Formats: sequence, structure tokens, C-alpha cells
Amino acid sequence: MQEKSLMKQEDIFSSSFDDINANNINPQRILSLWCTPFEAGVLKDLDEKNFRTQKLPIVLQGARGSGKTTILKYFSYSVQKERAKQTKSQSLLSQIREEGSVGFYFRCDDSFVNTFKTIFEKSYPDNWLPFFEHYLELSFCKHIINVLLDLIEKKELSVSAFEDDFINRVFTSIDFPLEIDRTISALCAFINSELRYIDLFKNRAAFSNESFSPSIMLKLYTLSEILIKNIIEMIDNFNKVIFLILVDEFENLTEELQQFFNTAVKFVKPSISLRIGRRSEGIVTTETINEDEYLRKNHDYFLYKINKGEDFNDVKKYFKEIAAKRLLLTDSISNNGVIDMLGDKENLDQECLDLCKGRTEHLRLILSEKTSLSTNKELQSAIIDVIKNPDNPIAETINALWVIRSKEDSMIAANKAKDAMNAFFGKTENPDVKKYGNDYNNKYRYSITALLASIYKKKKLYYGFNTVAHLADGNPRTFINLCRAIINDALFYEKKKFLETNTITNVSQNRAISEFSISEFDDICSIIKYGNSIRNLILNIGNVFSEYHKDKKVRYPETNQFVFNKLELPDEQRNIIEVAENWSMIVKREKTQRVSVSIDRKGDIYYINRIFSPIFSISYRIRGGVNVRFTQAEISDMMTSLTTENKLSQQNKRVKTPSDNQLTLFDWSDENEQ
Amino acid sequence: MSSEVYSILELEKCDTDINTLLFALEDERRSIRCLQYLIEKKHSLSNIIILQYGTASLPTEIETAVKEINLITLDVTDNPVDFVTALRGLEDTLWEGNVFADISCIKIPEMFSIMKYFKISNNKIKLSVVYSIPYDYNFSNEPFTSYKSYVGDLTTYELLGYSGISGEKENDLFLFMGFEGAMALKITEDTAYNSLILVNNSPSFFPKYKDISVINNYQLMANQKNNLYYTPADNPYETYNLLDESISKDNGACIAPLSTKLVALGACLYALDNENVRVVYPVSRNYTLANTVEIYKSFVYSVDLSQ
Repeated sequence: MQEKSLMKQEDIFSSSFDDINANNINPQRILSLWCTPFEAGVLKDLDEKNFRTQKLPIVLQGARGSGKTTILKYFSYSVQKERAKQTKSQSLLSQIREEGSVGFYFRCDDSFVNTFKTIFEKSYPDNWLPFFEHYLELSFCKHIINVLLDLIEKKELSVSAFEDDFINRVFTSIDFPLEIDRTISALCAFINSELRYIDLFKNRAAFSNESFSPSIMLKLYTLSEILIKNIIEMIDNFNKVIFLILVDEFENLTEELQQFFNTAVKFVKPSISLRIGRRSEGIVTTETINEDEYLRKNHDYFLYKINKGEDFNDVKKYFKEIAAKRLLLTDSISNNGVIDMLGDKENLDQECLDLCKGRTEHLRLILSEKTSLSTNKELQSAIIDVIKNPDNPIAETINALWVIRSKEDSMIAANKAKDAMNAFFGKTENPDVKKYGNDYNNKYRYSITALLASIYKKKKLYYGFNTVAHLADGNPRTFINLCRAIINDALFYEKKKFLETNTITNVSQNRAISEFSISEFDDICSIIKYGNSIRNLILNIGNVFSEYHKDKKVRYPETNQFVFNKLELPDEQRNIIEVAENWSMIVKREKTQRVSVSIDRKGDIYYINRIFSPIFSISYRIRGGVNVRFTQAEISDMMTSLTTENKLSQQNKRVKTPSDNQLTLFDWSDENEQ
Repeated sequence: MSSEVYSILELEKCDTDINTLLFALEDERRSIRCLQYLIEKKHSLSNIIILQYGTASLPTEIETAVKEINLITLDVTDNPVDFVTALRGLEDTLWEGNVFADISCIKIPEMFSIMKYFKISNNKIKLSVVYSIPYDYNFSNEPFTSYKSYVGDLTTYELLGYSGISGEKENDLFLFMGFEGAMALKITEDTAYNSLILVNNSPSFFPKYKDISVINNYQLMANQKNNLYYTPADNPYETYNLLDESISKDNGACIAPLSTKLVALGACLYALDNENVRVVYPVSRNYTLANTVEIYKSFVYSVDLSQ
């Protein structure tokens, strides 16, 4: 009996995070998993009502997995119907009235578009767009009529009172073939048969002499606008409703189709608007089909970027809600949710204790970096005796760093460091206690843990909700994927403990996170354009950061950002960078910033997607300070082969190490990044 | 397609006269295996159609032996419509009598186009499909993950003539797994579907192949708690039957035939009989030469397109 209940729990538990890709999730599930990104700050400056009812088209821009499809599908009619079902007192009609919009979801499937273009271009070279427009209009009309049929089926709309008048109005506006019965269902059947005709034509045209001869040829909005106008005029509840065309994966469209949709955006019809989901800007055009007209942001459309520039605490709150929704699908998970399961923040002190295990090699290696100590083992031992703190490896490592950075006699410096440490932990007076506190609590904790891991030939561990949220970098799909990987690992390696306590060990979390990080990297590189070049580039850049994290002098803590001048790159390399950005393999920071601590110039700053940090055992936090600069030649070399530059030694020539009494850019306490 | 209409024959036991042999010329010995056999056994052969992907040429002795035979070359370009147009430009008399299509080295998109062409233009054709099972595949490094048939980037296409019929909702995706995980990932990334159904081969040509397939599709399988089917690697009729039993006639399906050519043939025959089935496939501009090593056996499968 107990085994049975465990099995049941496991099944539910593991499946709650299995729905990753909104493309493959049904409307009911979309609704049950929905966590609004609007209120969480992930989509700040935009609220749900505005998104539903704004007349000006809206472009949602976000990386793969940022939630565009979920958002667009949530506002689609199929999910709206589910909402009406769940609100038992609410009819579908009143749900539509209350929400003020009806949306129809269209996914730009590039394999569909490519085939469509190939087929129609064969018969009508350079003039295939009208056929796509016809297909789109038929599809849009089909959705609109299906709403009417649903309302009639649910008896929320009286056929007798509505149909004749409605159909008469529509049929007098458009020349339909005479044989169509004058009913809504006949109109629906006609549209379906026209769509089927196109599908069959697509399947057969290349293999036969068949020419395209539909019963009617429609332009976008020729029929839909009439349907909508009459629905609004004839059904009270539709008075203030707008009809939304929800276009997803816009970047998959050919340039001429993008121009076509841009024209539709520029010249929206009354009571019709568009919501477009797309990835980065670099891959889409703003041209319309008219040569001299371009789309203008805030004039023709509003652009909202998902997960850009949001507060990390907002992201964590949003992720907590996502996890809670999914964890609630099982009966036996504690209400504390994901933080209870993964723990909150990393315990770097414990991690360092586990790495060092009372050994002092790390202190000796760091002290050896100072010329006056490098060969004097006896003095090293004497200093280690002064600065050591086996119960706190981070503190003793800071002491060692203070010694090698001091211009004073090493033993005096060691004693100063020790006094500062004792004052800090003993909460007593000392002139250096503030600086010591900052070094210990903020500046060096993470870097020292990474360094100790490298010295003792272990991997830096990645675990805890805070880490997972950082690694996901604001991306819900990555977050859900990480949770899924962690839960699956726990179910395999520590099932009994997991099911009894609902907690997962750091080891299990780290294993799952590391494996996911590698597989995500490999998977994306294997399917994207320029995959090999992007793989090389990221491995090389990651290795450079890894080198910085192994620096025994810890001169540039947590360096993980880089700068280069994209405009200097030749076209192909710029395209490679565009694809890398488009797939969020590298991420450009939202605002231009000072390119590095030593350079008084602003520019674009990049980092490699934080989910890849575990591959290189580097920090996932963004701390500012030194950014690694790459020249055009270096970027080019790094795309071509695995030839990691020794940037750390170059950096040393450029940047003077901050003296130990000077406040550096790292001396701020950055609560948000913790 | 029931088991009663199975017709699988070893090439060596085949003694019919042949009007036309169609095959792709590649740098693999098996690409000319059927032609070689027909010449050796002095079968009557009137026409040869060669699909030319690259620059491979017939060995001199074969070239000499086929001097009296009507030889037609079709260059295969990136545009599938051009290929179909070239097929349609061929004389109808080529398809009279027995026609052998050796698909050993014909790539999946062209194989699907050929079958669709026959189905639409001449479904009474006496068509036999020949396939030479390789003795092994070319693993450039270790024998589990190093197989790669293409060079460069993949693009997902609906195969020409196999776009299916758009329905109210997404269909299930039947993904026949091959050695290249990237191809499967590309398909699952680019295709919207209701449920994912993974199909591996059992029996595979050799026992290790089904495991290589598992290793290379591990990530996809790890996320798949159920819906894992098996079909024999060398029996297109069983693939047809599997699809026939699994797909509801009303709903249609999406199929990604990434496994063996014979499994793809089964999927192709099923899609020809069910026009609401969509077939998607990742295509590259360049492919590696000679992916297989030697030949294990060659089989002839009779195909009835008249249903």
C-alpha cells in the first residue's frame, strides 16, 4: 500500500514540471499552469487588461523560453473558453464581454511557410503572397465563425434572432458562390472546404498540372472585417470587444511576409489588432510592403521586452509562483514550495569547509604568489600559523590575500589581517573591520569558493533556489527545466529521502544542474545556424572567464562579462553574433555601460547565458568591474577554433591592481545579486 | 496493409526482367549494388535513371556494361520542385513493366517525392523497392555518438506533397529515432505537436544500432515517460501497420522519419494513403560522403500504390 502511494506521488511529482514547451501544452493546461508575468514585474509597464484591449498592436519581444507563447496562448480564444468553463457562473459571452477581446493564435511555422512559398512560387513566380494572404484570411474567418458556432451551441446566442440578418449582411458584402446555403454553419463549411482545398493543392500541385482555382480569393480583412463589424453591431456583449490576431514566432517568417504583417500592423482595422511574439530585433525587418513606409515604435506599435531590466527579487517571486503552481499539482508537497525543496541560498562557508577539509595548501599557494614569500617555505608556514582559521576557510583565504597585497612586511600584514578578522567576528573595534566585513560578506566569498574548488580539483557546486533563479536568468522555461532535472535526479538517486522529506541534497541538485547545463549547451549548438562557430565562441569565452576564476591573487572577482565592438565585425561574424543573441547563447545587457573599470567609455556589455556557468565553474552573478575586451581578430579566432586567449595576463598589463586600502568597484554591497 | 501482402525477397532470389532501374549514384558501394547484380545475372534491363547528388561516377566496367541501356541522369538540386518537375518530364514508357527503385542512397526527401509522383501519376506501376542493408555505418570516432551524415546547418521542411491537412488542433508527432540526436532535437524544436511518440527500431539491423539510437536521443527519451514504440528496422510494412494502428483516421498525425530508409518507406506509404498526415524532415545543404561500410544484404520489397 505504501509502495503504491509512493509510486503515485512520484508520477504526479515528476510530471508537474514536464510541461516545458507551451507549443505542446493544451489550453486547459496553459490555464492551470498560468502565473501572470504582468504583475510580477517580468513584463513591467504592461497590465493584462491593457494587453487584451490596447488598440495599437503590441510586439512582445523575448528570448527562447521567455514565455511569449504562453502569454499569447493565454489570451487566445481556446484558453478563454477554458476560463469561462472554470468560472462556472460566467457564460462564454459574458467572459468575452468582461475581457474585452477575443484572440486567435497563429504560429509562424517556417516549414509550413517554406513549403507554401515553394509551391505557389512555382506557379506564380514573385507573386505568391496573395495566396498566403488568402489562406490567412480564411483561417482568421474560420476562427471568428467558430466563436459564433460555439455561442449558438451553448445557446448563448439565438440562431433564429441572429442568423438571417447576420448572413444577409455578410452575403451582400461579399460575392460568395451561389450554391452556399445562407446559414452560419454553411459559411463555416465553405471556409473549411476552401482551406482544405489549399492544403490538398499544396500536397498535389508539384506532382500534377493542377492550377489553383479557389471558389473565392480573399485579401486580409475583406471578409473578417465584415464578420467582425456585424458581430459587434448585432451582439450587445461584443460592443467594446476587439479581435486580436496573435502571431507567434514572427522571426520565422520570410522577409516579404514580415513586410506583409508590418503593413497589417501599420494599418490596423477598427476592432482588430495584432499581438506579435518575436525574439530579438536584429532578425526582423521594420519595412512594410510600401517601399517608403516603415514601422515606428510607439507610433505604429508598442514594444515590450520580456525579462529585460527587471528586479531580481521580482524574478524570484515570479519563479516561486511558477514552482508553487506546479508543486501544488501533487498532494504531499509542503506548502513552503520550492525553497523548502532546494534550500534558499548557497552555504559557501560549508562548501569551502568541505573543499579544504582542514588542509592549508590553498594558503601556501596564494602566499607563493608574493615574490618575497614564493621560495621561503619557513616564512610561509609561520604566516599560515598566524592567519589560519581551519573552521573558516574563506576568512583565512582573505587573510592570505591581504598578506600578498600588502606592501608592508608579510608578518606584520598577517597580524593585521588576523586582528581585523578577530575584530570582525568578535564584533570589536578595529580600523580595518569594515573593509574586512566587506571582503568577507560580499567581495570575495564567491570567488574564493571557486578558487578553492579549482585548487582542490573539485567543481564549484550549484544548488539552492537563489542559484537556480540566477542560472535561469529570468527565463521561465530554463527555470522549469532546471526544476525538472533536479527532481528527476532526486527521484533516481535519493528517492526515499526525497519523498520522505521533500528536500533534495546539494549534491543531487548540483549534478542535475551541471548535466542540464551541458546538455542545453550541446542541444542548442547542434540545432542552430552557425552552431559550431557559436559553440567555439562560447567555449573560448567561458574558458577565459574560468581562467579569471582560477587566479590565485583573486584580482578580478567573478569576472564574467565581455565587450567587443560588433560594428567592427565582418558581415558573417556579425550574423553569427545575431544568431547567438537570438538564441540567448550570449546576452547583451539592456543598457550601455562603461565598458570596463579602467576605461572611461560606454559600450555594449555581453555575458554568456548564465545557465552555462556550471560548464566553466564560474560565477552566475553580475558584479560590474572588469569586463574582458575582445578584438575583432580575437572574436574571429574564437569562432573558428578552440584557441582560448590568455586574457588574464593581458588584463594585468592594462589594469593596475587596486591597492588594498582603496575602495574598488566591488566594494558596494549588492543585495540584489546575492 | 496486412501481413498477407508482405513481399520481401533477397535480391539474389529475384529473377524478373526489369524495364527501369532508378537509383542514386554515391561514393558508397551499395549505391550500385543492385545494378551490379542485374548486370552480373544478365537480367533484362532497358532503362537506367541515375539520381546525381554529387560528382560520383559509374565504375568503368559498369559504364561499359550499360552502354546499350538507355541511361538518364537527373541532377538533384536544393529545390524539391525542380526534382519533381524533372521526374515529370521523363517518358511514361519508363514506368511500364517492372520498375526497380534502389533507395539505398536516395535521400529521404527525394524518396518521398518519387513515391508521391508514382502514386499520383501512375499508381498501377509494378514497383519494387530495393534496399541494401549496410554491413556497418561509418563512425568517424567512437562507435556511439560520432555518426554524422550532414555538414553545416539543418532546416526543417515539410516534405513536398506531404503537408497534411490543417486541423483544429495539433496532431501527435511520431518521431522515428535515428543515430543523430540533433536531427530529432531540431524537429521537436521546430514542430508544434500534441503528444510526442518516439519510435526506435527492434529488431534493428544489428543489436547495437538500437542502443546507439537510444544514446544519441537520450535527452529526448529522458523527458519521455511513456509513448515509446518499436518497429523493425528492415520492414516497411510493419512501420505502416504500426502507424495504421496508432493514428486515428480523423485526426491525422505528423511524422518525422529519421530512422532507416526502410522505416521511412513505411511511413511514406502510410502518408500516401492518408493525406492528412504531415511529414517533416531536417534538411542540410551538404552531406558527408560514404556513410556506410560494405553491404550486409540486399532486399527487394514490392510496393502496391493502387490502394
